Amino acid sequence: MKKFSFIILLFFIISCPVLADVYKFPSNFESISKQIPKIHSIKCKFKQEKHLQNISKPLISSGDFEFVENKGVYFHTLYPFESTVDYTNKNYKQINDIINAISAKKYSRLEREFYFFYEGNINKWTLGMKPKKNSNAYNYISSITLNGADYINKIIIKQTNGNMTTLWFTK
Amino acid sequence: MVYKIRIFILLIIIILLCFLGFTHKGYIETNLLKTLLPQKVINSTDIVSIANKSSSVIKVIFENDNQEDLDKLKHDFIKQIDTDYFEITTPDVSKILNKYLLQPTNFLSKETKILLKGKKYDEIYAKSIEKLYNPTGIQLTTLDKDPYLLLDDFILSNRKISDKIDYLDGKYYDYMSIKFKKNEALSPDISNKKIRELINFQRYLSDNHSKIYLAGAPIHSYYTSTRSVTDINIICILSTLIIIFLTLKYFRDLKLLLPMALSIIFGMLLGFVTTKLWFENFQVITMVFSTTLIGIGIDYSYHYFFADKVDSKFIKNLSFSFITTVVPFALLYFTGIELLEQVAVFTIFGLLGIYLIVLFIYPCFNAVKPVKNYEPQTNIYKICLFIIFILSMAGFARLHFNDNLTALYTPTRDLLKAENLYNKISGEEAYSQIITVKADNINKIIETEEKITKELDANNIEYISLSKIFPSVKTQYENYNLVKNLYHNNLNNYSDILSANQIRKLKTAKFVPIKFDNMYLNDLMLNEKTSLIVVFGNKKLNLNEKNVGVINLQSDIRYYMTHYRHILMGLFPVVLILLYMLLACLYNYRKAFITILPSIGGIVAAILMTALIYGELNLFSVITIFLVLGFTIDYSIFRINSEENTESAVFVSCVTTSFSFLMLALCGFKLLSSMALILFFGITTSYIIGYLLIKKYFNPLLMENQNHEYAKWFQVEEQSAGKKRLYLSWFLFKIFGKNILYVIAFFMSVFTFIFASKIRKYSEKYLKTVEEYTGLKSNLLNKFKHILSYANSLVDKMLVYSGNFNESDIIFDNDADKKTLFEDIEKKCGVFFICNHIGNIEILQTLLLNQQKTPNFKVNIFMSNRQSQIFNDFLKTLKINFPVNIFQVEEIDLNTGIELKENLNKGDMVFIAGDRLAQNNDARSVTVKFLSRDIKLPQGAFKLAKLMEVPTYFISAIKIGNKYHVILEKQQNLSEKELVKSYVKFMERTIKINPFQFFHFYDFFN
Repeated sequence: MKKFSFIILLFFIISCPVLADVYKFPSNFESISKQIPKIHSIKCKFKQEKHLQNISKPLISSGDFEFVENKGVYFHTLYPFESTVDYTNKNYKQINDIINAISAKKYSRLEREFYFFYEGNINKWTLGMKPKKNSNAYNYISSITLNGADYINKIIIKQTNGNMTTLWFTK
Repeated sequence: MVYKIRIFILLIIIILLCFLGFTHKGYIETNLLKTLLPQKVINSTDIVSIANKSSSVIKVIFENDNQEDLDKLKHDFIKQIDTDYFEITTPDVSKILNKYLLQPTNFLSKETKILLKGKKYDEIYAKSIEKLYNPTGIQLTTLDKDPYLLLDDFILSNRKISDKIDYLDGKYYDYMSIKFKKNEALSPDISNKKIRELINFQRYLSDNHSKIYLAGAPIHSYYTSTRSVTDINIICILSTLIIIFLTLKYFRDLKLLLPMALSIIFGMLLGFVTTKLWFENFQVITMVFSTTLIGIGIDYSYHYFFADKVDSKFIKNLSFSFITTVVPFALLYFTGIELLEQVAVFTIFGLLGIYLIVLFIYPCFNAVKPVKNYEPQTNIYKICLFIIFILSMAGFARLHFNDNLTALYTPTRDLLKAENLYNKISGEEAYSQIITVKADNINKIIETEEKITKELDANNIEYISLSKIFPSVKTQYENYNLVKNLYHNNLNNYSDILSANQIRKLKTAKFVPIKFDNMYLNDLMLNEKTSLIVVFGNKKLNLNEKNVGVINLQSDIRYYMTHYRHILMGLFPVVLILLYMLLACLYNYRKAFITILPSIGGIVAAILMTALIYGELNLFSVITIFLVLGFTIDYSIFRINSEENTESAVFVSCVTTSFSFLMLALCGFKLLSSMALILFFGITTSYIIGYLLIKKYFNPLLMENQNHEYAKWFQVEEQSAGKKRLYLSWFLFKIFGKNILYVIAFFMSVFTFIFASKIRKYSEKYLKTVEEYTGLKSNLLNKFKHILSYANSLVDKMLVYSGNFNESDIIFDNDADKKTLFEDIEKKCGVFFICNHIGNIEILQTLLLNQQKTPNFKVNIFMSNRQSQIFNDFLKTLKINFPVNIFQVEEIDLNTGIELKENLNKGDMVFIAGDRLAQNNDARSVTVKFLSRDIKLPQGAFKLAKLMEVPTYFISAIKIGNKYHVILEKQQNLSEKELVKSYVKFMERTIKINPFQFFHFYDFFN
């Protein structure tokens, strides 16, 4: 059993990247924009899991999420404590710009900062972004992966220091 | 043969100069600040480097209807930028970040430090947990190294929140800034070429929907220099055309343009090469001043070609004019401002080149003679002068100085729009002051900065500093200890997340200093040993630290501008005095004064009129007045020596020069145009003043002075009287009353006293003669009093004839004499008065007339031709019905005697002066001793008196205080000879009463 588990684990290790690694499919904004729907305003729940480098236990949080077209996003965390992060104000301008750019399909702005990768179709897609060497994000972020259909379902942010944040959005 | 040798030598010199000029290693300096500030200021402060730093940035603004295309626009533009020359100024923070990561807890924000010092550990913990759970929150370091996210906090606290705008009035905006990589070493040619490329991309990428704006100092410089070049080219063409036109008009031969061009080119070449060798570099702005050379070159050339013959007199004039132009420029050399030193060297040597060419090379060309001469329009000049006077008066109210560099330049509307847009979009706050900190190593610099910024924090002054970004080792150690305390007191709260081992490791970590080595922050460092603290706001900074300087670019530069303006303004009178002394040595003190006067008048008018137009003047305006002086003094020197064709030469060179400057005044660059305007006004005004003053007014006297040392009274033009002045005075009197006339008289006296040296000389001679009788010294004050008393007597005359003189102000000295006189008058058999030019006899004539009841009674007066004409015209114009018969003293004959006798028989009075010889009547005079000196008196007056056989009186009306005292002597039974003797005694008696009332302003005692 132990061996079986090991084989399964090995399978996953090998197969997961093959199945999920969008980073094998470099793309450009022009083709991507045709295959990803424009994202409209939405209210939903979110769940977050942060895996920090050198820390064994992940940090988990959840709460309400809201996206307002052309304006930005709000995270209202309810667990493990209540707090609100408003990305629409100018303190988070850069982050907000990225979110707005993706939702409005204005990829050219992002293309200057990121390499694009795409896999899937308009109904189920994965978008990968890796910062270019000259971009500001290069020092902190190694990749951002977005999974979605009509809306974005999941975002994975991998940092250069080994931290990884996964965000799920559910109705 | 001689000429061929000369040309040969000239060619060799030109080749040599070209060789020197192009092989010498000097460079062209284009940095305006470096040219303006003295070397010691440049060396002792970082003002120039800091100014360069901020002036090398090009700002680019992108505008588009839609966000997507805006990004593409920016992207396309960046692709076009030539990265060999430009760098995009996004600071590379990765190096610093890597240093932070080595020891994250060495870096604490101001707020965290306060909390730590206050031991508010729980608050710090709560904050860090919130950050940790923050969705999409990115931690810079790992939790086992910085569990409280203190480094994130430190970095966030340093990030200046900008008010960047990317959407405005329906359009999307983005911006960036780029700068030249090696801006100082870059030649203006290359930098202009590179900016032209950027402008071409800008045009290529702009369309109806998208637009690129360029702003920043390099763009301003580019537009200014290219526009100025275009303007100057047009001006050169127009000026050449006017030179050709005038040459054709006056010479019908264009051959003389060749030597003219040769002189200018040679002068410029000599000036350029000498300046380059002298100073190691050549400042571009010196070229602007080289226009003086062109003007003076043309000036000398026209004088040469208009001159009748090139004799020693011409050479003397040319040399004088050369020396007098050199003097003011030579003084500029000692101002300590390199720009002015260069202007001085350039102009002096350039001028020398032109001078030598005119002297030695011009004779090699065939003589070209003028076909016509210019005839000045005196009346037009007078009208112009009147307009200039009015404008100058109006300008006086607006005259003020503005020493801001920005006042020298007004950007075009488009550039101004781009600048404003950039400020709006980028939200960048303009800094106003910079603190420079110097030390041997960066850690020491940062330590000093920390001391300074502590004060800034205490005063709530906003700033950006290296110490804020990278604290000193000392501060890092302090931070380490604070964090250590935090870990000991609070880190156990992290036991859920961190392992026991991790907690232990954190608590026992040793201090590791992180040094700011091998890094360079361009915005906050001037060089390896100098850092900059950028301070916002204008609060005055008083820092007493060693090796710390405060630079406020605007106000510091303004300070130097003001300082040098003051030096130059102080120098100007010195230049004038030196020039005056020089001219006085070359000519005489009076001629020197007249030579310099048109230039002063021109400069004053130019300054005032330019102030009227621009409202403000600056250092460059003051420099320009030296140039005006250099130009205009030449005109006066040539004029004062009254060569036959001088006026044409002066006119033609004035027209060409002032025309060029008028054109330049219309160019777009305010610095150039205001300088050109001063030159234009200065040159034209001093031309007009010079013409009216030297040619029309003084020159006849100057010439006369040279020919006849002594003059008769009729040869001296009456300086204080004259038809027009009489009418003007009358007009003013009607408006303002009699006091204005005395004021005018005073100023006329001052004027006469200064300019009419002949009158002054005669006054001196008279005062010396009477000194032993009256005790009056012949000093300046007494001479002036003498002239003033004559001017006042003219006013009294006017009051008398217009019936405005108060009779009670006339007193008879002796009542018995008065009684006898009135008895004689009442007999109606006529009275004969022999009066004199001591006092004011006209006073008496009216009094006597007014007391006469007979309607047909008249006064018969003898006057000189000119006097009687003015007097008659005056009375006629003023419609004064004054019963007077005027006889001309030059035309006394038998008929006059008969007519006079008839009039006397009717009861008339006759007044004849016994102390002046008529013109052309020298022979009929009698020599007598008067105050121990021989004088000549007219025989006619005394002969007539005897012939008429009526009561004869000697009479004088002397003013004492405000009253006229009538001195009267009846003469009875005397022979003609005795009558003369008695008359001389009477004169001696009256003179002693008031010596200033002796109104013979000619060589009476000759």
